[in-house]
Parts: sequence; C-alpha cells; structure tokens
Amino acid sequence: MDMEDDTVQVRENSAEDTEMLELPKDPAEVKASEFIKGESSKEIPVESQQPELPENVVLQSLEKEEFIIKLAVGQQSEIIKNAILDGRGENPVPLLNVSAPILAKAIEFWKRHIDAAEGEDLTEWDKAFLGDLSQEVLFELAAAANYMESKSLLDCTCKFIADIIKEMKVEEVRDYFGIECDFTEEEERKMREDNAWAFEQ
Amino acid sequence: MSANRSTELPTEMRTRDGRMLPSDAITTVLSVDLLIQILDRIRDPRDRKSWRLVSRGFLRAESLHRRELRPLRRETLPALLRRYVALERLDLSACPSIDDACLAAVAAAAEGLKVVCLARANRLGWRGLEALVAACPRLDTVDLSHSVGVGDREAAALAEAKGLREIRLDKCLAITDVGLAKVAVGCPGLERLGIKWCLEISDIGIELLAKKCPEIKFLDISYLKVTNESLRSISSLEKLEDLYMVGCSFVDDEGLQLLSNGSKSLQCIDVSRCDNVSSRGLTSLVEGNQCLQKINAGDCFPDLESSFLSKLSCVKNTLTVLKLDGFQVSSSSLRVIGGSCKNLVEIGLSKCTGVTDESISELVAICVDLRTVDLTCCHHLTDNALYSIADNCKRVESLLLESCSLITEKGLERIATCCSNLKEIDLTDCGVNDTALKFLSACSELTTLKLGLCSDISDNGLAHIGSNCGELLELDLYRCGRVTDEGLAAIASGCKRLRRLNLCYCTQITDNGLNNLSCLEELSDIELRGLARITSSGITAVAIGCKSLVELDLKRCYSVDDAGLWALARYALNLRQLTISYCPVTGLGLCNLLGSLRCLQDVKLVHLSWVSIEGFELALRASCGKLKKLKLLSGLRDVLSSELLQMLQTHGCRIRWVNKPLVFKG
Repeated sequence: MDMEDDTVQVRENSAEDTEMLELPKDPAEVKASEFIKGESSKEIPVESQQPELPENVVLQSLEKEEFIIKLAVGQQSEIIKNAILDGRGENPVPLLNVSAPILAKAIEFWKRHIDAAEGEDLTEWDKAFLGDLSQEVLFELAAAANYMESKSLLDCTCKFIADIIKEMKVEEVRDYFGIECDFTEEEERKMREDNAWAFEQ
Repeated sequence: MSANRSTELPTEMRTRDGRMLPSDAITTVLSVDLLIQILDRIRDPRDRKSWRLVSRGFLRAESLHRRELRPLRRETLPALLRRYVALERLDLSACPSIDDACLAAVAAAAEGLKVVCLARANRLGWRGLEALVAACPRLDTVDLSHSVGVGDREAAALAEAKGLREIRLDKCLAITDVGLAKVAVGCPGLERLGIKWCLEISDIGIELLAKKCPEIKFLDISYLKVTNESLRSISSLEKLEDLYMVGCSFVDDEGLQLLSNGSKSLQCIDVSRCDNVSSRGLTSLVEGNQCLQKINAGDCFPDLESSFLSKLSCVKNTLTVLKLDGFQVSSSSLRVIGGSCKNLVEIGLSKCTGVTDESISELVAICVDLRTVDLTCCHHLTDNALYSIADNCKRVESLLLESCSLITEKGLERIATCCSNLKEIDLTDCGVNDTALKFLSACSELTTLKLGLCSDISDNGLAHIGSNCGELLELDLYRCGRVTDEGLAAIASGCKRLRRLNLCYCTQITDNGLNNLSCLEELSDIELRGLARITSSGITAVAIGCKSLVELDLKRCYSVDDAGLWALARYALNLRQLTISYCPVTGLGLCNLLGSLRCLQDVKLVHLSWVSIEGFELALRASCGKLKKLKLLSGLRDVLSSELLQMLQTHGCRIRWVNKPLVFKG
C-alpha cells in the first residue's frame, strides 16, 4: 500500500517534467523521473535495474542512534529527500549534526504534519509543541531544521522565536539569549543616533 | 525564504576591506544564518531597528539581511552603504540634495541595486543617471517622478539600462517624444511606465512606445494632450492590464471604441475627467473588455444612462471597483448597478446628485461584499441609508460621508454595532456630536477618523475615542472649536500610534495640550494653524517628544517666536516640511532654523513681517542646496538679490510667489 503511494508520488513528478512546463528545481527529481521514464519505455536487464524506492527510511543521528520513518515523513527534509532519491539509496541517512533527542522532536513534528487532514490548521498544535520545549532544545531544533533543510520546521521554529522577541526591549532580548552587550558605549550611542536620524524603517 | 541561506553566506565574517570580524557571544547560541531567518519573520520596522542594538551578532545579521533602505540624509549615506552590502532597493526621495556626484557614489557602493527611487531629485542630471546605469547591472525599476531636471538627455542615459522593467517619469515636464523614443527603443522589456503630466509627449511618442515595448502591463498617460490616435496605438498592447488616462481631454468616444477589441488582459481603466467621453464610449469599453476589475469614470459627463449601467453586466464576474463620481444619478441607477455587478467591493458616488436612501438600500441589498463606500457630498442621505449599509454590508471598512449633514448618531450607532471591521470613517461637515463618538469608539480597528467642521465635538467625545481606539493613525479635528487640552490628553493616552493630527483653528488649545501630545512618538504630521494661544514652549515640548516629526504647520500661530524655531532647529532633526507664515519670528531664528535642519526641504514663509530683507538673504543662503519648495510673498521677488534667486534655482528649488494681503485673523 505504502509502496504504491510512494511510487505514485514520484510518477506525478515525472508527469510534470515530461510536459516541460518548467525546469525541475531539484536535480534529484530529474534523476527520479528519468528512472521512471526508463522503466516504462524499455526493457531493462535485471542486473542494471536501479534500486526501487524504499518504503521506510533510516535516519542516523550524531550518536549513531537509528530512527526508522516512512518515506513521506522524511521527505519534509530536503537533505533526506535528496539522499533517498538520488538513487544511491544511502540508507541509513547520516545526520551527523543532529543529536538523537532533537531528531526525535523533528520526526514528531513531521509526522504530525504529514498526518494532518487536508486544510487542517495546525498553528495551535505547533505553538503548543514548541512551547513545551526548553529554550535550548528550541534553538537546537531550529538549527537542525536549517541543517536538514526542512522548510516547514524552519519556518515554524523561527516564527515562534521571532514572535517571542519582537515584543521585548533590547535588554530583555539579551537576557532571553543569555548574552551580554558587546558594543562599546560610543558604538551604542552612534547606533541609537543612526536609528533615529539616519534612515527610516 | 529558502532554507539554503547557509550556502550564500561567507564562511568567515569579513568587512568589505578584508578585516576579520571578531566572533561574539550570540553565535554560540544561534548562528548568524539562523538569526537572519528569525529576523526575516519580524515585520515591524521599529522592532527591526531595536534588533540592531542587541549585540554585534544581531547587527551583523541585520546588515546581511537588509534589502531595502530609505535614508534621510546625504551625510550618513556612505557609512550606511558600507554596512548594508546586500541592498536591492534604495529610496532616496527623502534625502535632500541628491545630485550627480552623490548618485554616482551611491551606485558605485551598491552594485546589486534593483530598485531606485529618485523622486523629487531636483538636482539630478544625466551624468548621475549614466553612472547609476553603468554601475548597477541588475537595475529593474527607476522612479524619477517630479524631478524637474530630468529631460530627454536624462531619458537617453536611462535607456542604456536594457533590463529596465519599470520607469516613472511623472511630472518630468521636460521630457518630449524624443526622450520617450529613446526609452522605448532602449528598454524593450518595459512593463510599467508612468508619463503623467509630461505635456510635451504626443501621439507620435505613444505610437513608437507601443511598437517597441510590447510587454507593457501598466501605462499612465494622464493629462497628456494625446488624441484617439494614441489609443489606437495602445490597443495593440496585448498584455496591457492597467491604463490610467485621467484628464485626457482630447480623447473621445471614438478613442474608447478603439480600445474595445475584446481584450482579455485589461483589468483596470481610469478615464476620469475626460470631458469628451460619454456613455457610448464607456459602453463600448465595457463590451470590449470583459475582464475589467476596476473602472473609474468619475467626472466625465453628467448623465448616467441606464443603457451603460445595464451593460456593466458584461463584467459582472470580474468587476470589483466602480467609481462614478460627479454623476447625476436617477432613482433606478443604483438598482441597475447592483443588479449588474453583485461582486462590487468598492463603490464611489462622491458628489453625485440624486442619491437617495432608497437607492442606496437597493444597491447594498445586492452588493453585500462592499468594503469601501464613498458617499461624499450625497447631501440627501439620512440615517436610513446608514441602517441599510449596516444591515447588509458587514464587511464595510471605509465609509466616506463628508457633507452628509442629515445623518445623526443613531445611524452611526447601527454602523458601529454591525460593522466591526470599520477602519476609516470621514464625517467632515456632518455635524455629529459626542454621542456619535461614543458609539464609534466601539470600532476598535479604527485607523482614520475625520471630524473636520463638526463643531459639536468636545472633550467628552474624544475621551471615548481615546478609551478604545488604540489603532488610530489619523485624527482630523479641523475647526472643532470646543476641543480643549483635556481632549488632547485623552487622545494622547489612548491612541499611542497616532501619526497625523489636524488641530487647525481649535483655538482653545494651549501649551498644556501640546505637552500632552509630546508623548506620541509616532506623530509625524501635525497641523496647528491659527492656534493663537500656543507659544514656543509648547512647540519645544513637541519638538523634543515627537521624535518622528516630519511635517509641521504653524501658520498664524501668532505667539510662536524665535524660541520655537530654536527648539525645532535643535530637536526636530527629521523635519522635512514646515509652515511658519504669519508667525512673529525674526531673521535670526529663521537663519538658525534653515541652517541647522539638514532634512528641511519644503518651507512656507509668507508674511514674516519681522524678518528683514537681510534676514531672508542670510537664511535662504544658509538653506541652499537643501530646499526643494519655497513659498514667499511676491513682493520679495523684487527686493531679494537676483544672485540668491539664481542660486536657489540652480540648486533645484522651486519658488512659489503668492500675493496675499496682510490680514490678522482670530
């Protein structure tokens, strides 16, 4: 069942490509479509046949801990999507910059988003999900989303952080991030002046 | 926002001259890359400004992230351009004294520029534009509106930028067909062109434009002396979506017929003030362009024939905006309009005669999606019209009722209850009272409230507004004579985001009122004409506290003297426009003011009886290079030195000479 879903997904991509309406942005997708076209247009001897797309993907965290997820869930990250679709079948996919607990949280997020019904509004769930995390985990999750090139997760985490700090004063923002002001007095004065007089917006 | 930002940033942070930037605390918590992603989701420009002050890492993120800039002064430009290396959009219209050398330097420093606004750059010429075009290969959009120095030579320089897609030359009076031809030939990819008021342009220029620039989507030929032949040329533009031809008096129904060739692309047409156009022309326009979304046919001809109105059904699926200002409307007209165009979102019936309560109720019964309703000067309307609107059009956001003097607080109560999205309401000259304001204060989304000439309004009414309308941006209390300092206190405490305030001739206002206003940091445009009780001390409070002050009108403030000007010179550093006509200031104060304020570009100095000729000479010399507009008493033209007047002109200043008798009012 899942296999059918996944291959249908890839075939849909290839239909777009054959119409040549726009260049495919992802080189990995081109290779997939060529693979499909190749499959349907000629007989290929068994030995040189490319591996079929797996039903599940194995992700490997920093500590070499392995997570097994469905292909659709993993495709919300460009890095994972590329690793699978470029045909080398790199399995498990190494995500050496992401530690296990963070990866688990990312997977939880992706799963919820894939399982969402059509047009379901997940903003409340997202807020609650991120609100439960400690600040350290939140930042690491954002960094992981950036590294794994997951647009939905990156968007969500960054917006969440932006909403928190936009109401804060300058000193409060420093406290929130746990940093000191590293401007000299002269520099700070100059910048406040610039803010007032040098340019609008 | 792609998630691939990390590949675009340099791996080491270096300044433009190659120095290594020190790493800093924040990058151990979040990378600069991530900071940029977060900053991208912070929309409010004030929040973005305070972001810069947090730490070096934050400043660096902001410097890399910033794509657009609107500088206020020429002096700080070099430093700003060194810091913001990724700028794509630059708006120099607020900077005084932009000249060729300045633009050349800017272009050299910001090669990635795509969009440049140079509106009102009176001192700019072809050399600067040549430098701009040569240095910025990605240039896409240039706005030169209202720049008096721009003529054919400048257009030729601009035409060297092959990739230009949008050009605005509105009010560049020196542009002729020759300049237009250069642009048309040089920029074949042109999509948007504004040549409003370029009176030298004729049918020949338009013909060439239409031949050479087939991609045009937006064209503004308002007020040009072009004839039907131009419309023949324009009809060949297959991608035209928006056509503005306000006040084209040489165009008539035959011309509009030429535009009606079954185009599927035309979405918006503005033929207002075209005196020789009639129903016939409009009818053929609508029949021939069945994808129209916006029609503005105001002030063309008096009689609105039903034949035209029923033809509007040709565009019933797409038409959302219909403006028919100045027409004589019959009792059935609005019903026919409603029947023809259910999807209307905006209707303009300003200054239309014959608009009655019944016809409004027929219209709104069908057009329930209306968001903007303009009924300015529809004098016969009463509360019944407001009841109909309130009951049917729940999404109303903008309601213009100037001079509808028969409406009362009862109608406004119904509006306020039913239309919670109300953002703008114009009740100028409607005679509303404090009870009306009590009801209106329920509209917490209100941003614009105009109460000019409503002399029954008092502090009580303003207290209601101040208590709930926290989003208010503009408040007009022109000649609301019962308003006192207390009313201002209520507004100042509740409407913190206020940007524009008109208190002209509210003669009870004193310095205390101005003190109350001084806490409003966003207040940028204040009109205080005829307030005889305010003195320099009130002006000082405003100058210090209203940090965003850009426009100030103090005409006939007979108690404001040099001390007020000193305060403005010292504190109101972003002031761009000032009127001090009839104020008892002297040459000394004036000289200091014009010499100190680096942004001041537009001043009105009529009847400054205490300023001597020498005072004017010195003061105007001190301002040279910055002023763009100046208003003076015509008697001065003979006594000021021709050398000074010449210098002002060379530096791009336009002087308006007026002849007003010296009369003290109030």
